[in-house]
Amino acid sequence: MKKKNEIKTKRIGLAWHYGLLPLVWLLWYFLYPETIGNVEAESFFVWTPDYADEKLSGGVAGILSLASGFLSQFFRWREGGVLIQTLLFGCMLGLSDLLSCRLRCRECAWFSWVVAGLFLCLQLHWGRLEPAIGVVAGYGLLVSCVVLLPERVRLAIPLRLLRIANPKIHYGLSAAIILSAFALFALSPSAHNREKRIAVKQAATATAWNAVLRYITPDEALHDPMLQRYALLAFAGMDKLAENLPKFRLSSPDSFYFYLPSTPDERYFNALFYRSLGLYNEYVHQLSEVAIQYADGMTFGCLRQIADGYLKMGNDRLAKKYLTLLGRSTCHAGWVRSRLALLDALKEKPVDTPEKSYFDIFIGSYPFLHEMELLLKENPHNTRAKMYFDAASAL
Amino acid sequence: MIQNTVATKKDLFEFFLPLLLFLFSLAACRPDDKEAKAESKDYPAIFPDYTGVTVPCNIAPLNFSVPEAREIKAVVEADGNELARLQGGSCVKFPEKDWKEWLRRYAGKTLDVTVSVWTDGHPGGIRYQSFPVHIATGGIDPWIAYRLIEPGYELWNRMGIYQRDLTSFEEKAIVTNRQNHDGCVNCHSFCNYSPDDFMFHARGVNGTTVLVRDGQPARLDLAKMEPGKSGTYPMWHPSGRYIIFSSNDTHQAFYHFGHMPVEVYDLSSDLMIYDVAHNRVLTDPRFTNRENMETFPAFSPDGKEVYFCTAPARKMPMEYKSLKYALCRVGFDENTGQLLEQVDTLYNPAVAGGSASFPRISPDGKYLLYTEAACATFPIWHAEADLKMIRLVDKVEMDTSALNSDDTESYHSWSSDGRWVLFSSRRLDGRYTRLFIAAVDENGRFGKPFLLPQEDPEQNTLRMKSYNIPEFIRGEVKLDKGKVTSLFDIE
Repeated sequence: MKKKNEIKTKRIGLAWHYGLLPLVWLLWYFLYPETIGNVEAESFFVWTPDYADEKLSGGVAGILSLASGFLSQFFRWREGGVLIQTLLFGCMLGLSDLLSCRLRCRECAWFSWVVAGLFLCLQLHWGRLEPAIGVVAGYGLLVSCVVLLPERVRLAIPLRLLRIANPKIHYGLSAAIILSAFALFALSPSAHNREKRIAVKQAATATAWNAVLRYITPDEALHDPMLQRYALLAFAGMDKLAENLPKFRLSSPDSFYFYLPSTPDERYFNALFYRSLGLYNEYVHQLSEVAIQYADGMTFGCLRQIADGYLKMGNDRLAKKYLTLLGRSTCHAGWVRSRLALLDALKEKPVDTPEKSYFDIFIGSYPFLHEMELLLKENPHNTRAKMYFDAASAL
Repeated sequence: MIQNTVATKKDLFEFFLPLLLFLFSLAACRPDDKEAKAESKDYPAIFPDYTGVTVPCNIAPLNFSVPEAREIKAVVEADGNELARLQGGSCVKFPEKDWKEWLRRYAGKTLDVTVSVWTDGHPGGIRYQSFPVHIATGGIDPWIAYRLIEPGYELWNRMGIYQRDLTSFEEKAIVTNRQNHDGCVNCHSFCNYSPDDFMFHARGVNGTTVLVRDGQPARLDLAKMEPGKSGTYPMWHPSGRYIIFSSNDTHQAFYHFGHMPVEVYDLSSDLMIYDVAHNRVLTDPRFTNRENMETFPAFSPDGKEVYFCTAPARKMPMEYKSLKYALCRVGFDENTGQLLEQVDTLYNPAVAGGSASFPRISPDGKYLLYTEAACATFPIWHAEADLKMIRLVDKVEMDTSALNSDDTESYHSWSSDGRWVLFSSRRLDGRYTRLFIAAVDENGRFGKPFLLPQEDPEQNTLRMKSYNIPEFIRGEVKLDKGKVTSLFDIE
C-alpha cells in the first residue's frame, strides 16, 4: 500500500512542476517586457583582454559577473531574456526537486515551490541578472554537495520534517504557494512602477513622444520630478510646450532638466534633453557619466547611443572605435553593420565639425535662461532653444 | 558480446590517427612559401606604423596588423640573412624569444621586414617595399608606469597606476582604486627613476599622499601640514630630499560644440616644497599669491633649479583663451630648501603666442622639453598641443616635428640616459591617450616615434582607458598590496 502511494506521488509529483514553466515565460513576456530589455541595456560584455582580465581578477564573483554579463546580452530580444529568466527559475525548481528525490522525500516536493516562488519574486525585485546567477550557482553547489554525500549522511538531513503524505493537502499547498508567488509577481506595485519608468525612458530615447505621454498620468506629471521632466520633454518634442506649460505650474526653469544631476537616471534624462537641443557633445558627456556609474564602466544602452552621437557629430574616428568595440560583443553584428554603412556614408560626405565652435558656450556654467539665450545668439534658428527660452521667460 | 561492442583504446587510436594526420597535414600545408603576385614600391600600411622607427635593443616585439588583410606574410632579414618567415590572418606576431635574439645580435643595425598582404582588393597578394626597423645599440629603462583611466569627464570607475615591462608585454597593477575605497589614485612620481622611492596621491575616503621609501609605503598628509594646500603635480628633487608640488584648484567646463569637449582649468595654483628629511612644507610668498598661478614644477637634473609654468589669474572659464602660461626658471638652494631670487623666463606667451606646460629637462641638462598649446593648462584636451624643445645653452628651439601630429601630444618624460622620450598622444582617434617612444640623440634630433608595443595590436583600439602620466622606471615596482590598502583603513 505504502509503495503504491509512493509510486503515485513519483508519477505525478514532478512532471506537473515543469508544465508551469510556459506560464512563467508568459508572465515575464507580457507583464515586464521593458524590465527584460533593460537588463541588456544596463549590462556590458565584450570579448576583449581588458574586460576578461578585470572580471577574472575578481575571483568567483568575477566569474559569476562574467557569466551574467554574457547571458545579459541575450536580453536584447524579449524572447531570449524571458527564456533565460524562465530557465533560471526552472533551475531552482529542478534543484529543489532533485534534493527531495535524493533525500527520498518526494512528499516534501511542495517546498520546491517555496524556493522557486521566492526566487521568482527576487528575480523581479533585482531586475538584474547577476544576483540571480549567483543564487542559482550557490544553490546548485549546495544541492550538489548534499547529493554527493553518502546515503547514510544524506538521509540524516531532517527534510522529512516537511513531509506531507496526504496528496490532496500536498497539491493544495503547492497550488496555494504557486498562486501566491504568481500573484506577487504579477501585481507588485514597485515592479510595475519600474516597468513604467523604463518604458517612459525607452520611449523618450526613441523620441516616441505620444507613447511617453500615454504612460504618464496627469498627477505624475504634476508631482513626480522625473516623470514631469519627461512629460515636458515630450511636449517640447511635439512643439506643444508653450500651450501645455500652464498645466505644470512650474516655478523654475530647472524643472526642464536636472541642474545638478547625481543619479544615472537624472544624467540619462539630461542626455536626452541636450540631444533634443542638438548639443551632441553634452549628449555624449551625460551618457558617459551614466555609463561610468555602472559596474563595468559602460553599458550597451549608453555605448550604442555614444556611437550614434559621434556619427551624428561626424567624428568618424571615435564612432569607428566604439563600433569596433561593439563588434566584440556577441549580439551586435547586425547593428554594427548598419552603423558601418553610415560611417561609410560619412566618409563620402563628411560633417564639418571644427575642433571648437567660434562661439564658446560652456554647458552647465550659466543659469538655464542665459544658456538658452546664448544658444540662440549663436544660432537664431535653434527652434528648440527658442521654445525653452520663451518657456523659461514665462515662469 | 560486450567485448565486441565496446571500442578498445587501440580501436579509437586507429580510428582517430588518420583524422589527426589529415588535420595536421592541412595545418602543415599553410602556404609559407606563398608568393604575392603584385608588387608595390610603398611601405605597407601597417598598424601601428613601425616603418622606419628606431627601437632600443631590449624592446618587446613590434607586432603589427594590416587592417582588412585576409592573410599577411612577413619576411624578416638582417645583414642579408633571412631570420624568419611569418604568416598570420591580419596580424604578424614575432616570437618573443626569436625577437630578443635578433635585437641582441643586430644591435646597432637594421631589421628589414618585407610584408606581403592578401586582401579583397589584391586577392593574389601584393608585396610591399621592405621597411627598416633600426635597432639602437643601447637599451631603454625596462619599465614604465602610468595611470589607466577612462578619458572621461567628471566621474570615474576603475582606475589604477600600472607598470609595464617594456621588454615584454607584461602589465601589472602598482595600486588600483579597489584599494582605496574606489577613490582616485593619481600623480605618481619617481625619485630618480627608482622603483623603491616614489609617491602618488590617493583621493577619496581617508585619502592621502602615499610616500614610498625603500619600498615601504606611508601616509603623507600634506593638507594637515599646509591647510588649504593638497599638493597636486609633484616632482622629486634628484637627491630625494625634497618633493616640489603645485597645489591646484582644478575645474572643468564642457563645450557645447566641436570635437574638443572639455576645458580643464585652475582657479588657483601655487608652489610648495615638501622637505622629506624634516617632514615640513616650505613655501615662498612670491609663488603663493592669488594674482598669479604657478603650476607643473620640475627640478633640473642637478637639483639646482626649478622650472615651472605661471600665468596671471583670469576669470575662468570664460577668459580661457587669454589664459597663457609662461615657462620660468628659478634657482633652488638644496641646503635650505628655498627658492632663489632671480626668475628667468624661457617661454614668453606674449612673444610665442601659446601656453606652456610640463617642463622637463633632459638628464644631461641640455634640453628643455615642454608642451605648447594655444592657451590654458591641461593640454591633453587641446588637439593643437605639441611637444616643443629648447636647447638651454642658447635658447634655440629644436626641431620636434618628428614627434608631433595633428592631434594632441602632451605629457612626456625622459629616459634615465636621456636617449629616449616617452610621451602621450591622442593621434590614433583624438580621444584615447596612447604612449609613444622616440629616440633622441645627443644633438637633440628625434627619431620617428613608435607606439608602445602590444601583443595584439588591436588592443590599442579595444582598450577603453587612456594612459596618463607615463614615467620611466629603472626596475619593477614591488609594493606590498596589503600595506598600501591598510593605509586607507577607516578607524
